[in-house]
Amino acid sequence: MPADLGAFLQGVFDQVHLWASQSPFWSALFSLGWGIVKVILVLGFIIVNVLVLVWLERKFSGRVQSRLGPMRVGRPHGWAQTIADMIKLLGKEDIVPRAADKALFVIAPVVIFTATMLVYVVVPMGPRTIVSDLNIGVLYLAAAASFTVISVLMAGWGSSSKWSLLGALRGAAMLVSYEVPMVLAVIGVVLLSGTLSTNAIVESQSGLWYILVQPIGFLVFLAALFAELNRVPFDLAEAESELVSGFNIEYSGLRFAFFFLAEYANLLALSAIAVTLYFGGWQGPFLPPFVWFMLKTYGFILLVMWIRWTLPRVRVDQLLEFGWKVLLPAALVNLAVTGVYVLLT
Amino acid sequence: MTITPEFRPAPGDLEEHEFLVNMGPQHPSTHGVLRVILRVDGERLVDAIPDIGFLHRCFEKVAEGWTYQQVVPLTDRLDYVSAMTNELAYVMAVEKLAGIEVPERAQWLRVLVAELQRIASHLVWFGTFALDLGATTPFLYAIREREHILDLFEALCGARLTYSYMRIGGVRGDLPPGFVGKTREFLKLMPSRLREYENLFMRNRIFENRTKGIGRVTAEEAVAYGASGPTLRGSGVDWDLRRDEPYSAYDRFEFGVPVGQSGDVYDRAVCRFKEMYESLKIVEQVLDGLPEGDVRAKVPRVLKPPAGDVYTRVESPRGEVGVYLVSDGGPKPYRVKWRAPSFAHLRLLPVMAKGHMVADIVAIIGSIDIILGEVDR
Amino acid sequence: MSGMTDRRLSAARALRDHLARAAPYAETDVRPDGEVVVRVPPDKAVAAAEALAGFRPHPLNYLSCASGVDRPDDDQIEVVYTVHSLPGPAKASLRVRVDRKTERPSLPSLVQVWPAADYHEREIYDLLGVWFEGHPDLRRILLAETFQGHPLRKDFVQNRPPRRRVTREDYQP
Repeated sequence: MPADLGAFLQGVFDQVHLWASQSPFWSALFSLGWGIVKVILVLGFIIVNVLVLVWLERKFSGRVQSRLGPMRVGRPHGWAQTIADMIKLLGKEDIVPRAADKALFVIAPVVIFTATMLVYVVVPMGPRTIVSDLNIGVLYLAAAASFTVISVLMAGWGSSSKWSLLGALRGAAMLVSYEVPMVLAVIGVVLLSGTLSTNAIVESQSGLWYILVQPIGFLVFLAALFAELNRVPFDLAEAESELVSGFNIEYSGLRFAFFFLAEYANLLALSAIAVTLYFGGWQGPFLPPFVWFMLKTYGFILLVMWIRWTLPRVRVDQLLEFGWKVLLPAALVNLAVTGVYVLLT
Repeated sequence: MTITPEFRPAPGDLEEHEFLVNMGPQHPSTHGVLRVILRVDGERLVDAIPDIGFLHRCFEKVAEGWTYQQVVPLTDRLDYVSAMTNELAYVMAVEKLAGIEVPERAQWLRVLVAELQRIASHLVWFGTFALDLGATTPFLYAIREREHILDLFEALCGARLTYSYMRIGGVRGDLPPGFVGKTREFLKLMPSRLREYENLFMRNRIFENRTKGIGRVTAEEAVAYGASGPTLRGSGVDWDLRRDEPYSAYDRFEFGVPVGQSGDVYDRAVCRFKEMYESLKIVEQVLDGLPEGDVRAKVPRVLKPPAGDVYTRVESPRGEVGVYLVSDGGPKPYRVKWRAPSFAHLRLLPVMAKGHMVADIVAIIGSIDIILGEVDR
Repeated sequence: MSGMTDRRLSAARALRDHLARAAPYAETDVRPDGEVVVRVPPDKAVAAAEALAGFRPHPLNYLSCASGVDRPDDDQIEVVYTVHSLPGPAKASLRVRVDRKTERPSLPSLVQVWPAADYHEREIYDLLGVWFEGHPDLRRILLAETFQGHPLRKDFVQNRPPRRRVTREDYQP
């Protein structure tokens, strides 16, 4: 059935494309239309998955902590809890602090959500299921992942509160410091696969997943991932028990919902990237590629959650020291070894 | 530096590059309504000035208007996390003043509940300390173990937090049937659980990095500022009132007293954690040798201790809880002064916090194990 | 426990002898449980405290508690410093009485001898209205800065200063 549906949709798409290519005007319109459809699909994918992820996090953390998690909203295991929370957030008063820089304050949540969505452009969910198979995929990723820094700073400065500023500065320092090892670790994968395109990287893992040949690179990537995602042990920007929610302390209602959703969308995006780069993406026997992709991504997400609920938080100067003095050298060593290996084979 | 109530430093007091951060009375990590005014230079702390009094409930004034027996439930509410030791300090003071002899069985029961209370209080400390440092999970585990102890207390005296179990001259009532069995079960399951939490949190590399070398207090400073309990022992001073100035029946039991070396947050935390193992040992010894007898001495209905004063102290989970009791021969106390360990330890906060980072203040406050109820009274 | 009392009593006797030499102006009393009660006038408080802290072999270096007791029948407020030797068996209480009828009953602060006295003296100032000369930061600790009166005094309820509304002007430095 799925194969038929895929073929059918492909047929429809080809037919429309053929009609549109008759004139430049219809061609342009078709491209625009198709672009909008892709955005809507990605947005839909993100929103559905984020709703599931929030619920999953609460259930998982509950079970780890010897309790049940949401149970009531939506009789079997509170599956509608996230929906209820979102409705609640939407109904809240929109408060903008009097001393806040209104423009920055308002734009920050939009920027962070956009930054997260940008990553989805190069996530391959199947052999031909990708928004845009850029042949500079990895380079694009490194650039897109840096956008979150801007929005964190906007939020922290725009809130005009000492606590949020402190959180934002910490967050920015952390995000910037950990991008370097992250990208260096990913370059190891690029060397092995010989291409920057994410889809090609997945295809080149048909024999061997890169996690098995790049263990150090993966560990560096994993550590940097926690910093990029702002999760414990590296959740300095938020640090609930110290800065009482850090850079998004002054946000409420829909704006806060944006930050919240963006955090989980980011989690999903970067986990998908991790799976793409190290775990063979959509590769796998018997099941359709998309199912493999989802299984692996969620498996990785559970690993991330497991670590999050076990470890305490690292202090900001120790965090930066760790990033520059441990991760960076490790990533460089990994790169050197990989480079030599590729040269010799 | 003077801080006006509206949170502005007097002109000229602050350097150009410093600013004040208010860690307000409402904060997830101040363990109560504690306000700490932090003077920061970037991320470095120059000074940390505590501001207390938000939980002041006029205990000492109220106690002057109630009879000696009526004051016992009031003492529960001071250090509400370890109510039994509070009551113990107070009733011991009254008994010393009035010359009342407490029966043997009552003394042993007092030790039993005091040690169980110590474990419960340290579990709360452990959970909240982990929470402050970002690890949410140990809190739930600690609370789960504490539920066993609270169930025992509920069976014993009907309450889970504010017990009113001690009476002047003994305790309120004997152990209910099944209590000893349940306690022994608890004793069997606790050591392995504690070891698990030790591995999960206390031996975690991140935890060690966050707590070693932070908030150092030398032994001289600790003694000079009146520190007690694990705060004092963490600095290397081997002093425990249960062993060195025994009260109740403590001289009959064998137990170790963990002592630290460097007086940093880590040592204090480890001391406190290890005390739980020792308390389990004491509880076991109490259950093994509990003598028969009355649980309460005969005390006149309206107790009028002779005029005079007395200062008694006990080792609560936080340190030395002292009661200075003055009697004028009447049925109500003339003056009850409560010496709270957290009050003295708060004075050490600026000493501990100097030179560290803002993120460390949370670890430092957590290591003091402060309860505002007894600080503010 | 009786062993401890014996040690305390022998330390108490040694302490009394020491004070007879080092602080002859003090009235000392040894109680049956071994506590040495030392009564001094306010101007001799610091010297007596230093004498106590200088006692060997058990210097009374640990201030457990400083309490204020309002005694309107004697027109005095008594400040009691309960000190112990840590480690060691010695225990003493230094008692100073100040005249309650004056506007500003005061005695010298003992913060230099026992730094732990800092917060305790602030509390006595706050709740009983006793000023401590030489205290580094004598201001209210438990009650609000604008509070009028000293509640732990026995006559506080009858003679309470009239309450006035607290406004922003009160907080201007």
